[in-house]
Amino acid sequence: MDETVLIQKSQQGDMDAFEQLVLLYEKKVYTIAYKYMGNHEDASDMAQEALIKAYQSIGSFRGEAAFGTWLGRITANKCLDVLRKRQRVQVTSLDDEVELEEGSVKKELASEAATPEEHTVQQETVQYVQDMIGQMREEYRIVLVLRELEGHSYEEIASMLSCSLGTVKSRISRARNYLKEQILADKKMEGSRNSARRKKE
Amino acid sequence: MPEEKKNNLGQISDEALDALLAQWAEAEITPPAGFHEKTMERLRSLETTEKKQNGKLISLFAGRKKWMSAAAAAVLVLCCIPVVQGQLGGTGDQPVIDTLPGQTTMVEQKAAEEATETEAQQDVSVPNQAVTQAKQQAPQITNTDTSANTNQVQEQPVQQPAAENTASVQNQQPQNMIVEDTDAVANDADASAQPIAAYSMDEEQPVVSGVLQTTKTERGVIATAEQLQEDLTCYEDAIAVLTDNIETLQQKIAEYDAQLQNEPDNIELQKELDALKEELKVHQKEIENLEGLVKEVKEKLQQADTAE
Repeated sequence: MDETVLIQKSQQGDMDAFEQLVLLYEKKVYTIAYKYMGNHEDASDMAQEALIKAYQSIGSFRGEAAFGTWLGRITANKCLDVLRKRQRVQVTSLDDEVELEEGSVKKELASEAATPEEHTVQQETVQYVQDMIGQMREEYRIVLVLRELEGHSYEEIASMLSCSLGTVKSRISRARNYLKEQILADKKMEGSRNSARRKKE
Repeated sequence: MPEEKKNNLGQISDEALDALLAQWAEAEITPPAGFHEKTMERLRSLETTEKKQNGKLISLFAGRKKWMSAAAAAVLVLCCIPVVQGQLGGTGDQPVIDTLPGQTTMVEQKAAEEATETEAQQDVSVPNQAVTQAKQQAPQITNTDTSANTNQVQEQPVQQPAAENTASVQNQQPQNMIVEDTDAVANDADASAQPIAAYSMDEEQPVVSGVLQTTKTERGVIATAEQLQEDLTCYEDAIAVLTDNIETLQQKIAEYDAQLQNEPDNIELQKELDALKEELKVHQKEIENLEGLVKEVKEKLQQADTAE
């Protein structure tokens, strides 16, 4: 059935028509949610919340933008709301140093990411990047997703997040450097594993 | 950032990182198994809940709050009674819309006023003739007929042409005209020529047969003391019922509040509590309205007492 017809029927409260729309767009919604949230559990929740919100406000959809874009905006907003709230509650910086008896050490989070070697396939590379982004501090992840995934300008991001342009630029820069650091660290680890393997052989 | 670190990071070019990020941005992630089913389940349960809530709203006055519906209906009916009576021009005891003895129609009174002006006579009773077409067709009043009536002043016989309209009758009425008694007209007039029931709301009516006749205004707008008393009782009963309900609600609210302190995350309980609080507000508002009505009725009762 035509998407426009499905939208019209959904606006009249036809749940079956809306289910068809869900089938068409759930992957897109889930993808956005996952990229923002960084894990499947939160992504599932956010994607569901976004679809429910879309159903409740489909009456206000006037077709000025594509339905997918409208749905994507709802999803992004839902995720951003949750992430902003979380930031107010818990702020853990990857840059913070952990004080120990022997002195202070840089905080490191356990990575579930596979080594670069294992990510030769495109999908695996994507997963690798996603894992790194998922471990990132939320305020960096948000700017990175808004910039790289949604393609917003620095000014737009600053306006969306109610912060200065300098803050946005700084966060994006730090997020990118963080990614580079992680990749380098993984490369080094891979190098030492390879040399150890060679020695064994 | 330390120089060494900068150099290390330089090993990965921005272009390489951009390419990596672009790949990541373009990639779609498949939702886990059961995601669609769970989403639809949530949507359907939400829809059902909304429907139920809408149903509850519709049945607000039909379901749990039947007593409220009854009270509202009673108040409405009671409020309407005086208005309806006002429209009919009578009280419950006087439902007849017809002209009562000694009463005149508005048109008749107008004619009388004009006649009075023309005649400049102070001692004539209000005329009851030559107003409507039917009246115009009323039998000719003769000197003999009218002389039979004791309460009329007769100086000259009056002969009015039957076809003449009201104005011409009024204009052509001589000085010292004869004004016949109401009864005379009523007896002589054709059945179809009865005066139209348009009552004057302005004029006081005389006491007939020793019984106090309230004015049309009084009969229409101010209900009888008996009626008002009934209204008052009804309002007070409704207030009593509402007050009982408010007490019950307040108890429930206190219980729910206590329960919520133990289970702060219980959303259902919170919703119930909100609903109860809303209900309480409605009751309080209703009581305010009823108290206003009671005050109004008491004032009317006082007015009625004063009038008597």
